[in-house]
Amino acid sequence: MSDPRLQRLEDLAADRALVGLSSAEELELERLLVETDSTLDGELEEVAALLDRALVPAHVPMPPALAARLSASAAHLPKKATLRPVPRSAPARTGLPAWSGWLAAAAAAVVALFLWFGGSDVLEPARLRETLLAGTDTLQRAWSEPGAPTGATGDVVWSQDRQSGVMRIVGLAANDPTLEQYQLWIFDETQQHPVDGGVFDVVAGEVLIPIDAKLPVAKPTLFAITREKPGGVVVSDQQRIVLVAPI
Amino acid sequence: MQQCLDVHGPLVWALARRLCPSSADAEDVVQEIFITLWKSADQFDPSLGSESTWVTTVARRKLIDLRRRAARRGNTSEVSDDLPAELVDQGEAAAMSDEAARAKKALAELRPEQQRVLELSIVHGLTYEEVAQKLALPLGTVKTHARRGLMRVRELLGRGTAARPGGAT
Repeated sequence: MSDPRLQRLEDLAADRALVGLSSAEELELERLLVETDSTLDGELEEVAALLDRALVPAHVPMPPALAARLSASAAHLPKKATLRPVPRSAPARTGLPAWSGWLAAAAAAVVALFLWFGGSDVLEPARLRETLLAGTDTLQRAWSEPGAPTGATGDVVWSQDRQSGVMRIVGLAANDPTLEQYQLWIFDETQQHPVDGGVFDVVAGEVLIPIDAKLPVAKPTLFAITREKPGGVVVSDQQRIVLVAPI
Repeated sequence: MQQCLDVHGPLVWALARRLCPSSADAEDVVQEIFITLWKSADQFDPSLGSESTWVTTVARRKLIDLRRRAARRGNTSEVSDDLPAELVDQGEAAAMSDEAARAKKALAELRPEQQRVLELSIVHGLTYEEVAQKLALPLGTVKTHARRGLMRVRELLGRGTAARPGGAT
């Protein structure tokens, strides 16, 4: 192996498959995969998955309550979200959902999960933004300030098909994460409460923040950023809205 | 989607129970895993592997992320060789797919220390540092065993085309 990049690529791909990578390592791996035109990353993850299934081929029935919650969630997902072997069929929609109780519980769980996971994304935000902007279904809307102008600008990019997006924010006041954090909300015409789009921090200048919608978004009508307590909230009182982007 | 849940729910739940410190944590992460699966379902390519392997790959990635975050917060679980009884009981009964059987056969061809490192990492979710401590091996040696072991299994499964120096057993 004369190219030292290949050795490093193997190390990172194995680490990713077994113990995970830091954000910096993820970027390095992505760069090496592109530079060497390699698929090694995905292959080693598949090998680890196969070994996992081989070593512990267990199937344990889920707790009934958990299965019921997931079934309720599945019934309200967009049409695209199905594995290929499953016949594609549009789920029935019924105005305001009758599962708002589960929604609140799920939102609480995913907020906690977001804090735990830190909202990790596979693609680096700038690359994700470029990819989304190349799509035909992608929305791009400019931020506006609902209150006294501070000069904050930017835009939000959102792909309904991919259920993925990136916020570009320029000039928004940097926050102290120990005192408060920013939180994105996606207003969905079909849902009673806005969908949590993730808690994030802002530093001076321009930042790109991947959107991490915790629930599927069917018909987005507005993106809004609020200031909340550290860690974010399950349901915002929307008293401190700093930026909005209507669809 | 309901069919996906019916087919893969028990697999994902077994993974989560094995790699999460508590049942409550497992329930939370299983919800996250299925949302991810549904949101990224169009990325599944059956020509590259089975649906179960893809589901396992997605689930493992989430679970590894979870453990990294927990470790960063100093919330690490005990290092143990023991699996939850429900998994041990079910493990014998569950049917193993052909590709998983081939993977198990490939694993058996590795050097014993490579097998042990991969088992501790994959089955128990241990970090390299934890594996090194458990096996009383230098950290660098553990990493080498892990990398060479994975690369060798990849070769034996016919997924890699290039011969890799250091990949020999």
